[in-house]
Amino acid sequence: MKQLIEIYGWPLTTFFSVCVALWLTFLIVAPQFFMIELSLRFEERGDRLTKIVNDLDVLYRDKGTKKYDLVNGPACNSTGMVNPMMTGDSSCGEFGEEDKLRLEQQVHEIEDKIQSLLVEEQNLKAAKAQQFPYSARNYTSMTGLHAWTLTKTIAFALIVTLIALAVCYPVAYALALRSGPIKTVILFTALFVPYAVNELMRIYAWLMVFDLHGLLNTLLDLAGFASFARDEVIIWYRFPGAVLVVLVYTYILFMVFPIYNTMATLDPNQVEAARDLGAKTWRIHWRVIIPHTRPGIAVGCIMTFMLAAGSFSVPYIITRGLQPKWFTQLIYDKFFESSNWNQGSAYSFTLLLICIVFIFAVMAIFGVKLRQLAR
Amino acid sequence: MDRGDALLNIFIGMFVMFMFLPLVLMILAAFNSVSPPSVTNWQELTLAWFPRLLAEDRLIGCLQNSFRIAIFVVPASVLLGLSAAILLTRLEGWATNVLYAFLISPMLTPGIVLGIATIVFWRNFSVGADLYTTILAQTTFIASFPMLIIMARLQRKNRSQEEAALDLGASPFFLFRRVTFPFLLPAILSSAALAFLMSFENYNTTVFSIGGSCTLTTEIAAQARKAHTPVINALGVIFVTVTVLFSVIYTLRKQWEK
Repeated sequence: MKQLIEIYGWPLTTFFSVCVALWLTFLIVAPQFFMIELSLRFEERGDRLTKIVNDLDVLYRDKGTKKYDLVNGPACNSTGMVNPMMTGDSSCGEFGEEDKLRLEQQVHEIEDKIQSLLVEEQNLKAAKAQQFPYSARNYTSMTGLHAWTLTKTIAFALIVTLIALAVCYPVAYALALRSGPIKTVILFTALFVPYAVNELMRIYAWLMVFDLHGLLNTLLDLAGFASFARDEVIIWYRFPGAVLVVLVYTYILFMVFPIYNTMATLDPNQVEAARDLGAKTWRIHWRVIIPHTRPGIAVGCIMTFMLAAGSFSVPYIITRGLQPKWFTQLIYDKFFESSNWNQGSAYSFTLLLICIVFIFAVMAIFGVKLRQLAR
Repeated sequence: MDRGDALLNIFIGMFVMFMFLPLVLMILAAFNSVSPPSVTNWQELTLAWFPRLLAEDRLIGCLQNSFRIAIFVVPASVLLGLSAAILLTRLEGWATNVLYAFLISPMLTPGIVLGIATIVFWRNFSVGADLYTTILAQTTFIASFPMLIIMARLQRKNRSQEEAALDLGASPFFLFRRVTFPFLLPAILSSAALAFLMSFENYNTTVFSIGGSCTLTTEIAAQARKAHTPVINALGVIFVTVTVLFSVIYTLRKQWEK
C-alpha cells in the first residue's frame, strides 16, 4: 500500500481502492451473500399463515361489498341475480329496514371474524419470528425429477467438455506447432470469426439444420430414409442429442484459444530435441507438450464446463418445449413462473457449487494454481 | 509432410467446416424467399428480408436497449478493471491473492447465477429488474476482462520508468497522466472493445436480470423459439459480415506492425 501511495499519490490510490471496494462489495460479495441467505429461508406454501392471509383478503372484499350495498341500496337487474359489477350509480330504491339490519348484522360478523384472524396471524408471525429462520429445506426438497434433471445437465456438460478437449487439442497443436506463420494467421482468423459472432446467432444458425425443412431432413429425404411427401420427417428438436451438438458447437472455441495460447509459448526446439533423442510422437505429447500446456487445458475445461452447465440459451432455443426442461430452465421457472425465489436461489447456488467443485477438481488434476489460470 | 500431418490437416479442415456450416446455411437462407428460413427448400433469390429489418419496431427498440446498457457497462468495466489491475500489480502478500481470486470469480461463475444474485440483492432496496439491474449484473463479470488485459500490460512495464519520473520530481498525478496512462492506453482501448462485444452479445446474464425489458439478444432468442422468419437471418448476415471485416482488418494490422 505504501508503494502505491508513493507512486500514484493518495488521491488516486484512494480512488482506485474505492472503485475496487465497490465492485467487490456491491457487485460480487453482497449479491451472492443475499442469494445464499434467501435460499436458506424456506417459504411455507399452504400452511396456516398463508391460509389466513388469503382468508383475510376474501373477508375484506366481502365487507367492502356489503358496506357498498348499505350505502347505495340494492343492486338492480331484471334477472334478480346480484351482480356487484352492474350496480353502478343506478340503484333501485332502498333496502327495507329489515334488510338493512340483516346487512349490518353480517358486516359485524365479518368484522369479528377479521379481528380474530388478525390476532391469530399476529401470534403465528410472532411465533415464526421466534423460530430459527434458516433451514436447508429449499435444497432437500428438490424433487426426484429435478434431481434427475440436474444430474443430466452435469453429465451433458461433462460430455461437452470431454468432446471439446478431444477435438481442440489437435486443433491447437496444429495451430501452434505444426503450421507456418501464414497458415497460422489464416487458420486463426477462420476460427476467430465463429468465436466472435454473437452467441445467439450461432445457436440460431442451427435451426437451418434441425428445422422441418432443414438440412438434415432434406438429406434423409434424398437418401430415402424420410419423406416430405408422406410426411415422414423427423422432429430433431425432440432429441437431447440436438442440444448436445449445439452445446459443443457454441462453447467449443472457449477450449481452443486457451490451449493455443499456452502451447504457442512452448519453444519448438524442445519438441525437436525430444524427437532427436528418439522419443515417439505420443511420448513427445505426453512428456513435453501436455505438461507445458496444462494451465491452458485447465482454463479451457473450466470455461467449457461452466458455460455448458449454465447455458440457458441453447436448451431454450433448441428444445422448443418439446423436451423435458433443463436445469437452467427449471431455475428460470422458479423465478418467473412460480415466483418461488427462495427455492430458485437454492437451485442457482447448487449450480454454482457444482462449478466450484469442478474448478477445484480440474486444478487438482492438472496441478495448476489459481494465479496460473487467468493469463 | 508425413502421414500424421496429412491426417491432422484433414481433421482441421473438417473442424473448420463444422464451425462454418451452420453460419453459411444461415447466410444463404437470408437470400431465399421462403419463410421459415430454409436453404434446401429453395424458392427464389431475394433481398427483400433486409429492408424488412427496418420495419421491425420491437427489434429496433430492443437494439437500442442493448446500446443503452453497453454505454454504461463499458466505462464502468474499464474503470473497475483498471483500478483492480493497478492495485493487484502493486500490492503483495496473501491478501492480494485472495482479492485476486474474488475479482476473477465472476468470470468463472455461470452467467445465470450472476443475474439471479443481482436481482435478489437489489430487490431488498426495491429496485425491480430492468435495464439498471442488467447493467450491474453485466459489469460484475465483464470488469474482470479489462482487469486481466491491463494487468498483463502493467506486468510488462519496467517499474524503473515510473520511479525515474518520480525521482526527477514528477508529481504522482502528473506521473499517472503522462507516463502510466499513455502506456496503458492500448490495453484500455482493446479492453473497452472487448467489454462492448461482451455486453452486446450477452444473453444468459441478461435474460435473468432484465425483467420485462428486452435487448437484441433476448429478442432474437424469443423469436428463434417461435415461428422465426428470415428477417433474423438477414440480421445474422450483418453480424457475420461485420465480424469478418473486423477480424480481417485486425489481422492485417497485426501483420503490418510486425
